[in-house]
Amino acid sequence: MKKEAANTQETYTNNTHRIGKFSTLIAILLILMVPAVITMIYGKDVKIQISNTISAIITLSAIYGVVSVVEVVSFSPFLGSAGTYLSFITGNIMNMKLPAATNALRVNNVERGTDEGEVITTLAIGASSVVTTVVLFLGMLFLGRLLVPVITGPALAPAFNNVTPALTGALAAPYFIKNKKLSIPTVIAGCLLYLILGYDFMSSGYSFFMLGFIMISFLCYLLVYKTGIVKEKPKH
Amino acid sequence: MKDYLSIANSTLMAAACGIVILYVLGQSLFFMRRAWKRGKEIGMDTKVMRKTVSGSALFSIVPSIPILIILVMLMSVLGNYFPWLRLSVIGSSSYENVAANIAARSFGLLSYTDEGYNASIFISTLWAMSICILYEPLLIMFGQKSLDKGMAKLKKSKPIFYNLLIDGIFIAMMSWFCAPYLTYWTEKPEQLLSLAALVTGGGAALLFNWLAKKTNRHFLTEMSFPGGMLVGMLGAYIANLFL
Repeated sequence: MKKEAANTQETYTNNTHRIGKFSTLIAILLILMVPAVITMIYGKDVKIQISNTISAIITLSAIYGVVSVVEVVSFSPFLGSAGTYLSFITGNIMNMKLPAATNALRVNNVERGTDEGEVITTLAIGASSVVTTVVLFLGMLFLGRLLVPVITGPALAPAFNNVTPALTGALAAPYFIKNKKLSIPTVIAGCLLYLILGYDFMSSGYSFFMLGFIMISFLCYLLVYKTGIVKEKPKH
Repeated sequence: MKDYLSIANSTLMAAACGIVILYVLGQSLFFMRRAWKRGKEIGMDTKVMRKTVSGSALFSIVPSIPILIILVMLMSVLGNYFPWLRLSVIGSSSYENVAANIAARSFGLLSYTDEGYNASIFISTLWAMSICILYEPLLIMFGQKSLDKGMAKLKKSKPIFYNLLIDGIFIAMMSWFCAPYLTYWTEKPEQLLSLAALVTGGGAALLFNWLAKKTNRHFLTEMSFPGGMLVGMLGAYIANLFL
C-alpha cells in the first residue's frame, strides 16, 4: 500500500516536471515572440543597432546571469516542484511567492518536501500569481494612474514604501522565535557585516554575499549540531 | 508624441503582450487545478486547500500595490503594454527599472527618460530585456528535476542533514533579509521607518500567533502573516509622524 502511494507520488512529481518543462518552454518562446513580432512589423522602418543591442545584452547578462543562479539555488527548495516552475515564470519571488508558500506551510503546519507540502505551495503560489496578474491588469487599465498619486503621496508613502520590511518581519519573526539558538547569532552576524562593511558595499555584491552568508551559516549550523552545542533540529 | 510610443502603444503590442499574460495566467490556473485534484487524491481537507488559496490571494493584494508605482513609471516611457507584460510575467519591480536603464545606457543615453530615446532603442530594449530575463526559467527547465531528485534522496538517506539544509538555510536567508533593515538607519536616519516596519510587523505576527494559541482560534494563525504585514506598514506610518 505504502509502495503504491510512493509510486503515485513519483508519477505525480515526474508529470509535474514534464508539464513544468514543457509549459516553461512555451512561455519562453512566447516571451521572445513579443520583440520578434514587433521587429518583423516595424523593423523595416526603423534602423536597429545590433551592436548596441548586443552590448546591452552582455551588460545585463553579466549582472543578472549570476544573480539568476543564486536565486534558483536559494529559492527553489522552498517553493516546491510545481511552485518553482510557476514562480520563475511569474516573477516577484522574494516579495510575493516565497512568503506566500512559506506562510501557507506554516499556517497549515505542513512540512516542506512532503506530498501535502507540494499541494499547499502550488496552490499558494498559483493564487498569488493570479492576484498579481489581476491587480496589474487593472493597474494598466486605470488603477495605476488612480492609485499611484495616493500611495506615493506624503500621507501613505511611509507605509507603502515599507511593505517589504513589514512582510519580512512578519514572516521571519515566528521562525526566529522557534529557533532562537540558531537565529539570534545569525541575525547578529548579518547585522555586524552590514555595520562593519557598510550598506553600499554590501549592496554592490548583494547576491554573492547572500550566497556566501547562507553557506557559512549552514556550515556553522552543522558544526554546532555535530559538537552537540545545539541538540534540537530546526522547527519550521 | 515620441515616434516609438506609437509602436509601444499599438494594438499589435497589446495583443502580443496580452497573449503571453493570458498564457501564464492559464498556466497558474492549470497547476492549481492539478494540485487541487492531487490534494483530494491524498485525502487533504478541501477546507484547508480553499483557505490556502484565499489566504494567499488575500495576502498578495497589498504587496502587489507598490508594483503599480514601477508600472506607472515605466508606462510613461515604454508605453502601456510592455511594462504590463514584464511586471506580470517573470519580471520583478526591482529588476525592470534597472534593466530598462542599462539598455538605454548602452545607446549612450543617461537613462530611459532621456530625450534621445527613439524607436530603434525601444526595439533593442525589448530584445535585451526579454533575452536577459530568461536565465532563471532556462536554469529551472534544465536543473529543477535533478535538484528535486537530489533533495528527495538526501531526505531519505540523511534526514537531519536535510532538515538542517532546508530549515537552517531558511533561517540564514531570513536573517540576511532582515540585517539591512536592522542596520541601515545608522547610516541614513530616515531608514528608521524600515526598522519600525520590520519590528512592528514581526511583533504583530508573534502577537497574532500567541493569541491564536491562547484562544485556540486557527483564524488568528492565518491572520498572523497578512495582519503582521499590515501592522508593520502602520508602524512605519506612525514612526514617520514622530520623525
